[in-house]
Order: sequence, then structure tokens, then C-alpha cells
Amino acid sequence: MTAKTVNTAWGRHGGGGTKAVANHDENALTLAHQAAAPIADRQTEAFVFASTTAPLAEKSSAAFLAVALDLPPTVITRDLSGSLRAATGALLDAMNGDRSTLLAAADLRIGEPGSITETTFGDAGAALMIGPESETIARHLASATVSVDMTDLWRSPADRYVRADDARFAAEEYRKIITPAIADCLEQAGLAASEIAQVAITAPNPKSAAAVARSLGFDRRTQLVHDPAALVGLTGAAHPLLLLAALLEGAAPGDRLLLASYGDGADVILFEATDRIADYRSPAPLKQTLSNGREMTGYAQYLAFRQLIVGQRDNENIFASSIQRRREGEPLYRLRAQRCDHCERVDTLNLPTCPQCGNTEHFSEQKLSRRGIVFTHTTEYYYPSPAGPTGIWVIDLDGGGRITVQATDTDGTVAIGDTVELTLRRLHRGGGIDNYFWKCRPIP
Amino acid sequence: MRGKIAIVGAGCTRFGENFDQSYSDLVAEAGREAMKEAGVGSADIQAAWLSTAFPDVGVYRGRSGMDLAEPLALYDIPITRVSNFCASGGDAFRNACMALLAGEHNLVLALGVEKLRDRTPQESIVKMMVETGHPFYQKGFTAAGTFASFARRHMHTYGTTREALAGVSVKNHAHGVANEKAHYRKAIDLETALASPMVADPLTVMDSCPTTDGAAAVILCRIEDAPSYNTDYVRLLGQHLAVSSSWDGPFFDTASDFLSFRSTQVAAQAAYKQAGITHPGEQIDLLEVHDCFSIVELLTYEDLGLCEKGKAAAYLRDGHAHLGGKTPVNVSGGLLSCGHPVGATGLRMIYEITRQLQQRCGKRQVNNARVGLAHNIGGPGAVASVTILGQKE
Repeated sequence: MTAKTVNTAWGRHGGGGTKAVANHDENALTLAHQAAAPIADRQTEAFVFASTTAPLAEKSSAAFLAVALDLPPTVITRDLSGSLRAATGALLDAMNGDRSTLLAAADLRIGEPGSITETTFGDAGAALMIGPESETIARHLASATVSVDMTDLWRSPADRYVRADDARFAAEEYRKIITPAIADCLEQAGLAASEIAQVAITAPNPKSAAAVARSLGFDRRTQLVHDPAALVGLTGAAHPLLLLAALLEGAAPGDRLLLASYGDGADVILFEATDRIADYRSPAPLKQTLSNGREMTGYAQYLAFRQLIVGQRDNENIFASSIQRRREGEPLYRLRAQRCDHCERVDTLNLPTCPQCGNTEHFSEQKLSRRGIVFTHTTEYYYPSPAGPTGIWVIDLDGGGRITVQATDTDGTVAIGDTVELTLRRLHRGGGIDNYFWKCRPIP
Repeated sequence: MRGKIAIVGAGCTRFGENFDQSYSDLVAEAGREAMKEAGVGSADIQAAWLSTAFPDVGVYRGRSGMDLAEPLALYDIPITRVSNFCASGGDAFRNACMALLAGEHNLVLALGVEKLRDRTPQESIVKMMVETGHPFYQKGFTAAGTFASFARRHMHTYGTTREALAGVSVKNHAHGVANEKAHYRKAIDLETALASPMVADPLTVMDSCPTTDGAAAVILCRIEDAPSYNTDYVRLLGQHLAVSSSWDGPFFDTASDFLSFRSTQVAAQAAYKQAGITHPGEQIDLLEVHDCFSIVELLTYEDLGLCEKGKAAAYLRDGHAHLGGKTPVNVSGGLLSCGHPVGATGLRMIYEITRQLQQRCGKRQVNNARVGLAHNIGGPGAVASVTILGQKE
């Protein structure tokens, strides 16, 4: 959504830049899943979910994500919240420890309607796989951390929106806190600013980051990574990992990369790109996601997506059952279907008897692919949804199995034979809790 | 089966938004018309079957046979509530036939009734599909969408067009004009049908049956007893019902090609065998088929063997399914004009075939109607009933 769209709705002038708006069926949990799924390694020893907008304050989102990423039950799951530095803190802990870790950070950050944060906050998810040095694309050289009690931004569980105090005070303290932290990190590494290939700094605005960089001796034009905040907004706990992605995607072997993350103090981390980075291609690079957006139809659509309109809340009357979720959700979320040993038929719903040959005992497990092609489709005009008509697409998955799901992230254009991927989304709020399931979205 | 059972009485309410009629009022009206024709009273009915598909949508009537007993005072007899989605009516009829063949009862009643319009249309079946069903893998469809996905595949595979779908609607709306019991009795043209709002792409409002109240009933006995009730009786030639899939089957099973309903094929093959029909297109004089959505009528021409696979659009275009054509289909106006009080529909079809065989249909009478077929499918296409009736010998 453009800042102009927001400002026009409020009768204000101009405004540049855009913000990333998550679809109506997304939340911090689904954003984290979308980022983590392409790189999830079943051998990982730990999985960490970092967010300031986790859908639940009590009940682990990481535990559910571990199921939806088909990680084994033995994986160590952690939910981190409370600070914009949650993700870099987790990153430091993982790199200083000896456990392989899949780290996913995401925020769906709602700025108070009518306030400046409505145009400057955005939604995003990002993920990293942290593992042994023998496999890294970037190794950890040095770091510096400072913890500060600073009441610049805060949100209590009862607050829907982030609250802010004096912006100029916040900007000045920002500079005073993050600058020495970066200097400290450079000193520990024994490196001068000129020896750093690229630096990325989270900041309340681009001017602040530029001023900090200049004061430390970095060349703003050649060394400071262009913050995607101008396109996607300030994306909370995910933002430092977005900046890290920008650093990694532009790196050559041997490059020193510095990431500075701010919030209740600062985490500064210095990396060195290894030879492996030359051949590494992210399955979901930042560059691609930045160019993939579709413009909102208007401010009203944003209000509907975020349920900021009275009377447009999720329907909680839908039948849901925690018992059923535990019993039947597990295989469906893990995409573990059943294959008949006699006739090879793949059964997505794990029926007790093979409908093709009547076999009742001899089944093997079939892990379903998240990619497939459209076998047939329709668009429902009468199914209630804040996003308008709902596509229902019948997908034949690569390697076997069929699944019929709602379509999302699409304007409805579809043809039999199109390629799609499954994506985990909020389906409804039956029983007063988010119920998730797979939907599909077109892939180019 | 063939020739062993007779229909001696049939009744049908007006189908429509019958705001002044309760579920019980509908039962009473249809039941009484059938009993009057058979010349019997409530005390003569020895067993009954009640077809209501969605009792919880309205006023919670129709969950049990007691809701057939009360309006007609049919007490102290076995009454079974039958539920097989949209095929409930055909299923109730089948069960009544089975009881007669078993020799356990001599005079039986099958009655179908649905009261959908004590709520807004959105508050009835759409709401049911939103709020019930599996919390994960049955979310997003309304009834229209399930059939629309079949339409899309048929269009992709055989080149069937939106015009062909709309053609079914135009035909059945024209047929409905002459049916005083139809919900809609207004002809439409092709442009109107094509321009009507989309419900589930490619099916529009005009491709879809309306939300309707109604009831229909038949009274049956063994053939040897028929003349003592009604000399103008009609004979059963064949009846079969098949469950060939499940609600989710096609949507989660690559074995389904979305081009046909096996349940119709299986039920028809068995009914044809009982009735001695080898060339349905030549030996059947009229058909009532389940056009809840226009695509189902087209698929049914193929599944019943009236034409080859993929050729339904041409069959329609060539006029074979129109009144006056080779095999008139839905001269009553079908579900598109009559509406679809779900549990009643299968029995309304049998009522219509009965009246046609009795030559009592006025402007919509099919000439030389001697053999008629009623096709009733549900769930979305998992269960189908095929009933074949003939004139008395």
C-alpha cells in the first residue's frame, strides 16, 4: 500500500514510499512459515520463532510451526518475543552455541490508524539456517551487545497498536546507543570501517542510519546497504534479518558484512562471507519478494484485511475442535499422506481402507510435495471473505496425491495446468483460535 | 423389481417461497393429495419413509420419522427418516419399494419435504457449508463450487461452452412456464442467462437452482393390489441407488477425472437391466434429471447413455432434450425452475413422471409417454438414484 493511499484516506497531502501489507489470511506465524519452509532442514536441532506480534501470548507458535515444517518432535522449540532485537539475540545465541538452529522471525505490525506509523510499519518474515562452520556461507567473526532501558516504542498485550513517545528524543538516543556498539564490534574484530564491504543498520528512518554510518567512517554510497524499509516499511522483529538477507545477497567470498540491530539496546554482528557464498542461491531471495507485490485496491481493503472495521471480525462460530486438530491436523500439516502398498494409490486423507482396492492393512507413508499443477478450479462468489471471491483450486501434487484448497495471493486468474505451491495460511477462527491450513498460490 | 410395484397415489405442493406454510403444512398438503388419489386415509398407511436432507437448517423438523407422523396422524407404524443429501427422495422411494418386495407391508408412503425459507438463503445451506464440515479440508466451497469444478474440467476436455450451460437454463425455464407447481414460471433468453451474476465460476445465478420450500409424496403397493386403490396407477420398471464415492472423494483422489458421476452410471446400468432397457435414447420417452446446476444435466445425458461422452452440448443443441424432442428432459422445469427443497426433489421427479404417464400434464404433456426415468443425485455426486416408471400394462 502506498503512503499516498493512506494519506489520501485521511485527507493529508502526498507522502512517498510503500509498505508491505500481509494478506488477510496471514499473521506472524504464517509469515514465519513462508520464510522458513524453503530452507527447513529436518535435521535441525533447534527451531526458534521470534516476533513481537505472535498470535498467542500463551501457547507456543514455534511448536505449531515445527509441525507445519515437519520437524521431528525431538527438535527444541523456542518462542521469543518482547523486543525488536529478538531475532538477532537468537542468532547470536545460536552462533555462540553448538546446536544447529532454524531461526524464523516475523511481524505483522499494525500502526495506529491515522498515525505516521500506519505508513511506516510493514509486515514481513525471514528465516536463517545456522549450522556448523564447515557448511556456512557466512561465518561469525565478532559481535557486540548493549542492553538499554529505553521507552521509545512499546505495546502491551491489551494494546492493538504500537505506542510511541517523543520521536526526536528517540532518534537522538538511537544514535547515542548504536554508534558506540558498532565501534565496539569493529574494535573487537580489529578492523577499520574501510575494511567492511557492506554494513546494514536498522533505524527509525533512513537519515538516522546514514548519519550513524557517516559518523563511524563508512561511505554511505558504497558501503551502506539500501534499507528495504522504503518499500516494505519497518517490519519489526523480521527487519534485521531482511537487512542480513540484503547483505548476504550482495556478498562475494571474503567480504566482511556488518549487521546492526536496534531495540532496547543494540546487537551488532560481524560476518565474513565464505567461498560457499559464490554458489549459494536462496530459494526465496529478498530481491524476489520485493518485486512480487500487488497494490492494494485502496485503504478500505487494508482496513478489511486487518479487521480494523467494527463488524468485520472473524466468524468464531465455525466448528473446530482441539481434539480433531491433534488427531487429524498433524498428518495434514506435515503433508504426510498414505500410499497403498497394493495398488500405489496415494490418499491425502489417510482413509482406513483403500477406495481403489479395498486394502486395509498395508500402507506406506507418502510425503506430499508442496508443488503441483491445477487440475481444475472454480471461484466462489458466495463464500464470505474479506478478500472478495475465493478461488478453490484442485491441485495434483508433484509425485502423487491430490488436494483441494483455497487460492490466495492471486487476482483469480488461473488456468488448468498452472503451477502452484502450497502455503500455510489462517483459515478461520472457529473456537476462538486461529485454525490454519494449506492454501495454494500461483508461482511464476 | 420390474412390474411388481405400483404407484397408486401421488402428491406435490407448490414449490416456492412458501412463507405461509410450515414444514408440517407442507407434509400435510403433499400427503393428503397422494392419499386422496389412492382413496385411502392415514389409518391405511402401514409404513412410511420421510426424506429431509437438512433438518438443522430450519426448524429442526425432519430429523426423525415422527415429523411425518404428526401432521398426518400416522401413528403406531414404522416411519424411517432417510438422509442421503440431495438423493434422499429417490432413496426414500427405494426403501418403500424394498418393504413391499419383502412382503412386510402392503401399502406404504414415501414423502420428501424441505423447509429452507424460514431463513434467508445465505443463512441456510451456505451458512451450513461455512460453519460445519471439517475445520481444515472442507472450507471454501459452497454447493455451486463443487459442481463448477466439474464444469471447468468438462469445458477444458470437451470444449463445452458457457453457452451450452446457459442453454440448459433457457430450456428448463421455458419448460417451467407450463408447470403450475414450479417456483419460477418465467422464460428467459440466452443473453439474460449468460449475463446473470456469477455464483461459482463458470456457473451463474441462472445456472443454479433457487432456494425453495416444498414437499412431494407417493403411495405404493404391490402390483396385484393396485387396481383396488386406483385404476390409473403407474408401474415401477426399475430402481437402483448407488453410493460410488464420498463427499471429498474427487477433491482428494487423482482417480476422479471430474468428467462424470459414476454413481449415476452404476445406478442407471442396474435400473436399465431391471427394466429391460438396452437403448435408453430410444426406449425412454421422458426424463427428470437432477439439474441443481446446469452442468449436472449435461453430464447426466452422458452418464445415462443418451449420448457419447463429451457430446452433451451437441445433444442439447440438437433439440433432443426439449419438449417435442427425442428424449425430453425436465419438462417440469427441473430443479432450475421448480427449485430444490432438497429432500423433496427426488419425489417431485417421480410425481412428475407419474402425472406424465397418466397423461395429465396439459401444455407440458409429452406425447406417447410410456416410459419415464427419474435421476436424483447428491453429495455432491457421490450417491445417485435412478427410477424407471412405465404405464400400466
